Amino acid sequence: MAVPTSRNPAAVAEPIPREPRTYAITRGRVQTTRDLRLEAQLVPGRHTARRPVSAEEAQILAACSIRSISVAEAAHTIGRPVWAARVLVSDLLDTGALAMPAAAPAPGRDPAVLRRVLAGLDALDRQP
Amino acid sequence: MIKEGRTVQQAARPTSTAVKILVAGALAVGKTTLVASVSEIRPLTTEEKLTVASAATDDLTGVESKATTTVAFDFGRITFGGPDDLLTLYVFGTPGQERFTYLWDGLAAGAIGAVVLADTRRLEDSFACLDYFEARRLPFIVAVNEFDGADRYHVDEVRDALELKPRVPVVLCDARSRTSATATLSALVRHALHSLPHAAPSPLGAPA
Repeated sequence: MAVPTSRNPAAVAEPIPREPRTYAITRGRVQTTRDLRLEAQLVPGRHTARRPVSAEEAQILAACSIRSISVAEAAHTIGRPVWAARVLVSDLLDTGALAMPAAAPAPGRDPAVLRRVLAGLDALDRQP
Repeated sequence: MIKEGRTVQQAARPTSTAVKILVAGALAVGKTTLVASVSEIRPLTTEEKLTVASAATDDLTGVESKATTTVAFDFGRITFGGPDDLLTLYVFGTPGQERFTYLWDGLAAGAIGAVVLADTRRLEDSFACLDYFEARRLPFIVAVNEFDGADRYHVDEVRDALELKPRVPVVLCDARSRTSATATLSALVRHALHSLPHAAPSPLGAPA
């Protein structure tokens, strides 16, 4: 892969693929058996990773150590598509390095949750 | 608080509930603006693989072709509550393009509902979104983004033009205004709450 330099301006016109390729980061896997929604919350698990973690896995673990993050935020954190984040998150859940906090099965249709969201939005609305 | 280990052990396990709202609508209708207006953080961008049905472009063949494509989308976040009972609302701007119908099933699963942003100068661009959410039985409202220079219409005129069922709320909004954008989300959540059946069925596509 030609690296664009001032001495090699032609290389600049080529799209520069992200290195390493996303498939390499997920070790060829494109999906996971887990149902990980975009908004699914991730927190640090009870176990530290038993194997060396990749740079991307370390980024996800660091991001959720501050506050819980979603699968979508994990994808943004590593700068890779959501499918790739799902594969890595699933691996980290398997090893216990990540965990998912207890959550209602269908919060989007839970009247108590919806009322809380409504109260929160209305409070925001009243703020100057 | 950490004086006695016992106290820490007995503390309730923190909960972290997350819900989401989709902001849909045609290209350049103000989805990204609305997400940015309500979000407490600078909106984040990521990519997802979506299935695309290019129905409108294949009128000649009459065959709906489907393909998978990677699309970028923005999302924002609003958090309520403290660290022990965190409630996070994510607002996802769905990718929009007039000629394609994205199959947002992965995005929409479990959502509170959707705000379909509409521009009165090209209401017909909203039809694909409306059909999608109607078919999936996901609660949605139509929010008319009042662009500068566009003619003003009464919400009932918009309702008629879009052939909306009477139960679908239509609101006017200014996607640039935090107050207006937040009120638009409130209108959707209120509608979703009223749409809940007494015996809650499974989310998305549950038989009525």
